[in-house]
Amino acid sequence: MLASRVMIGKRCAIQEEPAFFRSFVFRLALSLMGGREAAEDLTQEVLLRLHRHRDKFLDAGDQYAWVRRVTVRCGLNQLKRRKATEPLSESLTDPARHSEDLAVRELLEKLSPDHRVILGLAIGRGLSYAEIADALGIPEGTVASRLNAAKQAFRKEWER
Amino acid sequence: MKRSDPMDALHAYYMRLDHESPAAAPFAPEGGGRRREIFARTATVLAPVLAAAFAYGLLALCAATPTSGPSPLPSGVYENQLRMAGLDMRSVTPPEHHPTLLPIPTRNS
Repeated sequence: MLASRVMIGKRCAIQEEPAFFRSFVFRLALSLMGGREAAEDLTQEVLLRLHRHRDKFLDAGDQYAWVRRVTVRCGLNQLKRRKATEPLSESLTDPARHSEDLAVRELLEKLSPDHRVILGLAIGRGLSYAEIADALGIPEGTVASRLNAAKQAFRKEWER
Repeated sequence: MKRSDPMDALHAYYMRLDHESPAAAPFAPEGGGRRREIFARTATVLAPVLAAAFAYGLLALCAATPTSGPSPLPSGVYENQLRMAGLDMRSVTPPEHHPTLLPIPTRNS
């Protein structure tokens, strides 16, 4: 059996190896978590889950959407588990980073996990309302209102 | 120094985050999966060729295998079959010797 079955001319091919989605998951995890270290942890967790649930992974109609749902769910859980008193990660304390990035990151850390995730999906990854609704398992109307609330919360922190 | 619009700052933050962090693996779906696609296409083309070559080799091997020679049955099977048929080994006439095994007649001088 071939390692992967690729339909020539189509972007969405059926992939049998979860590792194929490593970069896709990592980019998404970066937007959700905001730091490389946390993103790599999340990527590992997601890839392990894909291996464990390989049958579901192979049967998924849209594998990208399925992987995105798993990544968002795991990322949300990790953010909720993380305590507010946890020290800042290496990417935030790195003096070489852009000063504005540090300010933005600090503000994001103050937001709720739900707000951080929806900002990461909408602004970080540029996903549509429909894609976000699918990833979070909520209606599109809820996506709009939650995104609006997240933007308001970020603005409020910014102006403080 | 803060920008006037927080959404601009947030957008720029995500852009830089994505740009500055190298990919965790070479197989990105946005272009990085190209090598894998090429590999898969090559494998798709080569797989039937390799399968045909293997089948041809297998057939050639079977054709070269001699069909004559000693019986593949283990010793005793023949006797068992005779016994089940109600025959005795002694009642069965032994097969003729192979002509090459017959003693070469010598001319009496």
